[in-house]
Amino acid sequence: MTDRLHHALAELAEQAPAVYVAPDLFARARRRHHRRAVLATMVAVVAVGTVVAVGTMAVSPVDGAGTSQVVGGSRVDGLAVAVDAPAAVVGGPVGWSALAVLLLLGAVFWRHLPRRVLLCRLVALAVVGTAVVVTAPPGVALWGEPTRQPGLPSKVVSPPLWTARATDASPGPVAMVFGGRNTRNTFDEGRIAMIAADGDRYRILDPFSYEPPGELAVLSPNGRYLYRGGGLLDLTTGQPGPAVPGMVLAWSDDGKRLVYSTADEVSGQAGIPLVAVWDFANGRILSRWTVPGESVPFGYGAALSPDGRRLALQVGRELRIYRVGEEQPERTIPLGASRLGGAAAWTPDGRGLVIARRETCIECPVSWYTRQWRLELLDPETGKPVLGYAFPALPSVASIAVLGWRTPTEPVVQLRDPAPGARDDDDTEFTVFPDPGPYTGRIVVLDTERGGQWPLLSLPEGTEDVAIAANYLALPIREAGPASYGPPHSRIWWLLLAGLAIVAIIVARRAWWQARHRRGQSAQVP
Amino acid sequence: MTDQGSFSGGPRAGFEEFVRMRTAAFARVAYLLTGDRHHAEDLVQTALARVAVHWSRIDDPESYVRRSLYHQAVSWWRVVRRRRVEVLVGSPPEPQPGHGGDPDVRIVLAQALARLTPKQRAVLVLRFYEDRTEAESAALLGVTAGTIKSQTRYALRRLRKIAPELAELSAGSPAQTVNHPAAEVSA
Repeated sequence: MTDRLHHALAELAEQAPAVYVAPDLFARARRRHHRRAVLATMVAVVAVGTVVAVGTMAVSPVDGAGTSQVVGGSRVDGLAVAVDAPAAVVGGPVGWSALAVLLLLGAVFWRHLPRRVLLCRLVALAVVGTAVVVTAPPGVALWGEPTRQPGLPSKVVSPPLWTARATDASPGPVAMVFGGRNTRNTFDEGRIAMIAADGDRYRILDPFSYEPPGELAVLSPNGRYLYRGGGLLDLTTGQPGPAVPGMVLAWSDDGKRLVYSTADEVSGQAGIPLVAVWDFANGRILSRWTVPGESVPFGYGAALSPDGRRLALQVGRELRIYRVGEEQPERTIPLGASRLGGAAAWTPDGRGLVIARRETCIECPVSWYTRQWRLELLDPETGKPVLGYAFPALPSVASIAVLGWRTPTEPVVQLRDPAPGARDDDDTEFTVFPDPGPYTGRIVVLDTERGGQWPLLSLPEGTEDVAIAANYLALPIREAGPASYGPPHSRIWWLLLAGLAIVAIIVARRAWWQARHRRGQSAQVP
Repeated sequence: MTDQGSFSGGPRAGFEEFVRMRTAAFARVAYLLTGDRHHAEDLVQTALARVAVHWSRIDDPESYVRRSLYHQAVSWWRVVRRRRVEVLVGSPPEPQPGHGGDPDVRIVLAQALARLTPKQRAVLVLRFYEDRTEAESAALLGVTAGTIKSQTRYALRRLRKIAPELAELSAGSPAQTVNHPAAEVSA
């Protein structure tokens, strides 16, 4: 230690300013400390509350390792049966309200600061809060999503723009896939939506072109696989499923077999030269039939019996019943003005086959649309109608397809009601799209004992096409809760990134301007 | 050291008496630590506000304030917020009345200190202004005695490098007149 340095430092220290200490520093310091402690406590309470609330609902969707449940005689694999929980609603009105409260608290706690500092802090808080709320619209689940008992929801809603892709955030087995005017838009012409079987978790797929659910997009009975775009998508992982050699037309009720046609030769009115039954478990072709020169409408043209041993195939104007493993059809039934009821046309016991007969209504609910459908049950052994079933007439309905069975006497059908502008075109019954013009789809249960019908669930306006995982039809309808739409769609992040880039450019430009201004000032000092 | 028993009356009166008696000393340390009058004042006010919050629970407010001064001085947050606006002039400022000694040495020393790191500056103040031992300095800064020793060595070396004219201060050589380049220019 040197005395010289000590003395020099002491001399320098003598230049220290006379520090002003406010007379009420003691009280003010304590008040400020108290306010900060209260604010920190509030923030901690809110944070802990949020974590606890989200934690209670954060039963992640299925990862394929969940429990199994027997549904309608077959197993629904990969379902995580969990407690009923509310949806995680992040952002939206709640987020904006929370931000407003935070700004108010900030204004109160920082009221002693200079006005400029106060404004800067409030603006910073508002910007950060807005970014958080904007990236978390209503239903976006950043930390967890609801999980409920499996089953079809009582109500389905249209997915908003920020709904996550099923390939980005797998929903688990789904109960329903739907599409129409409410899912498509100018930018996403091929967008279809789906809802998980065990919770109101929505996801979308946005391929380039639209594939109507139930016709070109076919759902497996357990809701795990969706055939679309030429391949299977495993909805429990979001990854492609096993490769299918052709275009899937229908599944067996137990999900072990499926019928497909060679995709490259399927095109609406064109003939389908090859139809095959495929064993899904081991990837073997069990039977294949060629139907040269004829047409097999897909979507409702093929139906596998519940045990997968027989195939009902509509070829032109006749219905062929094949037994898997045999080359020739065991029965051929002329259809006339009728057609096969749909991919779930077989009754649950395999003893009946539903066909849809086209008629003309007299007193039509929609006066300008006279097409009427009535279902019939045929005995596949004799080809004769089975008596004792009272199928109601369905007037002013554009098309009908049997999606499954709620009970052995209650088929669940999708009806397409003509919307204004739809035309009843005579020659369109075998095409993929049954009519030119808009439709509104609805799902109803037909009571074949009393001859009535009742809606199974509520579809959003604009829904046209629906595919339902048939195994869930036998379960009780679960009450729909608040919907969640998964993590934000990637376009939300791109928008946020673009916004941040703009802000960064503005800040950098301002900083550059200020630095230049300061250099200019320094240069002017003599 | 000063403890609370030295101050009579209630907590508030005791605090005010403490402020009256010790603020000037704290201001000198703060000025050496920051090198800036405004930041020194801010540093002292912050330290006093902190001690006020915990006044009734603190046995030795003097130590608390000093520790707070040093810790705040080397705090990265405070360092980031500290913005020194330096204006280069052609001649040294007029010496303030009442200050003895060599004004050139003070100016050069102040400029040299400003170019040290906050920790090096704090170590120099503790060791050479407050005449603290290495152990006391280490306890105040919350570091080891070895760190104090090494930081002292680095600080003195850097001081000599920055301002060779201060070499005799840190080397213990006899006092010599220091000719500041700026003074020569003005002359």
